Amino acid sequence: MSKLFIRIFLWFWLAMMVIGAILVALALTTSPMESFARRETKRLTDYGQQLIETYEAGGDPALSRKILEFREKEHVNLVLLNVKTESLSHQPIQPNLLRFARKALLGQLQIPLPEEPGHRGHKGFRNFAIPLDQDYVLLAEVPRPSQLELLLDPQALSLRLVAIFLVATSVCYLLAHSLTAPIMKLRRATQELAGGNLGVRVALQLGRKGGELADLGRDFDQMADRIANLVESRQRLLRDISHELRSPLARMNIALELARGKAGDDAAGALDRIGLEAERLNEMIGQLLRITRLESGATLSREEVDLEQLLIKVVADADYEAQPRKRHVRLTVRQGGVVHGSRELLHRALENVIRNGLWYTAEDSEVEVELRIDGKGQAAVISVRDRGPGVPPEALDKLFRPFYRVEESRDRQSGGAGVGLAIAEQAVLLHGGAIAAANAEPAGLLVTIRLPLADSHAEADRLV
Amino acid sequence: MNRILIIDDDIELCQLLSDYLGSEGFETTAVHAGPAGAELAGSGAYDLVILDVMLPELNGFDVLRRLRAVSMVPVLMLTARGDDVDRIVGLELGADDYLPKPFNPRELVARIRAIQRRSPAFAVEGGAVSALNRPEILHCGDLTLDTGQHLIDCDGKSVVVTGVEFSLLYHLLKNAGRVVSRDELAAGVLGRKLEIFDRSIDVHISSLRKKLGRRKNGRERILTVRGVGYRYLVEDD
Repeated sequence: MSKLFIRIFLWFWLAMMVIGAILVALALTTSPMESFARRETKRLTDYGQQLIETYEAGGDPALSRKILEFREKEHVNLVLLNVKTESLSHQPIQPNLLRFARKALLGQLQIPLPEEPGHRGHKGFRNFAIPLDQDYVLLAEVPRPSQLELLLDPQALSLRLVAIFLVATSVCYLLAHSLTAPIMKLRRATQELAGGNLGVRVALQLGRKGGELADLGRDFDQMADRIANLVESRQRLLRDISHELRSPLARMNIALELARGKAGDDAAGALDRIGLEAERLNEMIGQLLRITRLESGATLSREEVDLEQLLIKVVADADYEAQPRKRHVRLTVRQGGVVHGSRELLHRALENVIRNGLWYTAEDSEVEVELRIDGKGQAAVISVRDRGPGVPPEALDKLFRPFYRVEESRDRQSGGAGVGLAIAEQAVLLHGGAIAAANAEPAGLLVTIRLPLADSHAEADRLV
Repeated sequence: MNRILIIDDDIELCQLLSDYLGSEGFETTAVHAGPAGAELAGSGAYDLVILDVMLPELNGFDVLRRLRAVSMVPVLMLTARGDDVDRIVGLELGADDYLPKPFNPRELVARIRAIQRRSPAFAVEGGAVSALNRPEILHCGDLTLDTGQHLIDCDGKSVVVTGVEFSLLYHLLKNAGRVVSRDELAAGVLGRKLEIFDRSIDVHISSLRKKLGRRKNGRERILTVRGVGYRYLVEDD
């Protein structure tokens, strides 16, 4: 039997027991009959006062009339007695009632009259003997309250209802809380893990009690450990590979220089080519390292980056680079904007996107770069549009994957490892932004980057 | 001024480098482990140390630390590609400059020569004409810089700095009261252009500040002029 089963079972069982016990206690300690009696006593005392006034004002006839009135209107039989227990309205009275009246006068009676075996009151009625002002005593016959009336007696009922309500509420609340609180904690931890925080653990929070939920917490922690290890070892692997690749490259560079020194002019061209390829290898390793670092969730610096300034520079450098290839890039719209983040990362991201555009754009054409602020002033929107062949629609969202190439055979010359756009995406995401590619009319690719501006709501949301 | 010590565990690289540097006129010795390297480097037998930070056992930074405790011999670090932290830590620990692996050997030689130009030993032995050739003594407030003796006297106390820091302070004092751009400083002190996002000069300035401390009246000596460079403040600035 599972511990959770036992727990839920016991909670409810306990709740029932407690409620039952409280009801019994209440039943024993309160009595609807008593509260009925108390209420009636008050009412009757009031009537009695009225009778006294009537009698003292108008004597027997008035009293008798009043008594009749009460009988008809309030359905109570009243008899007013004087100190000598004589009926002032000349009504006949049963002897045992008279006895009670005398006792009441002497203060020996509990009100109302207790049920007495053999007491021949009218069935369905209760009798009251109430001393009034020390000179009078009131005998009253009042309809007995029905079971329903007793049940619905406000005082007793409210007490029971309150008791049941309190117990049931607290038990159910505690049980629900004890079940859902760990589940909520688990949810939050899961979300954090999915969001990239590989260090989150729950076992401690869920407590050391046994039970399925605590077990689940431990399972979660194990899973998180495993994932963290996997990610770490992948990072380490990439880093180590890159490191290992560096050593032969470094040696090769030196050997190349040595060769240049010893070789004649004929070999110069070929040697230059070797140097170029070595440089490309170098560049690729650098990109790989960068992307592994970004993916492992690097923390972002919080500089203030002026996008306009940054773009002006990147565009100028890229344009200079592209001139020998007869291509150009221009910043056509610049609305300005400041973001919080890493200048270096953004520089690389923008550079990669623009270089990509320059690579594919047709000869003698221009890559247009625009910097705008969106309508609500929340984000900067940078668009890079080239006049190349564009990209088939199904490949559009794959563009930002590392090593993805639209056409396998083409463009081995671009020099990058196919990682440039992937780096751009990671960098943009780190800044809380978004990047997307679409085909432009009539031809060409349009890459759009959105970045939340500094001190905007969008940024505040991201930081939460 | 051309005795170079290479501390790197890559034996083949050291062989190649020795060949190449040899062809450029340098005398090189290679050692492949940190502890031995630190000892040799501090012995005074070498004019320049090329130190790989990625050493097994005692890592490059620890070697650097040990070395700087006993000697101000110029150190050129070979760092891992793309690791900015390494670079900054190295510079802060007192390295003169760095070069990421894999590097262009010609670039290496250029930096070695830049370091040579700064060194007073070189100036004394002759070589390419440089501003540090003729011994100069510069005064500014409570600071005295003697390029001949390679000494800095600050408020009566002698201050020990690395070759780069010395050269940096020299340039600032020579232009005391005026702003010197970071590019100018990089060219004069490191003998090269600053790369984009290269904070070498900034790290060296920070070290200098720490070593010199503030003036008696509590004011800073070196002012950062954002986006431009640095300025050594004259008394009434």
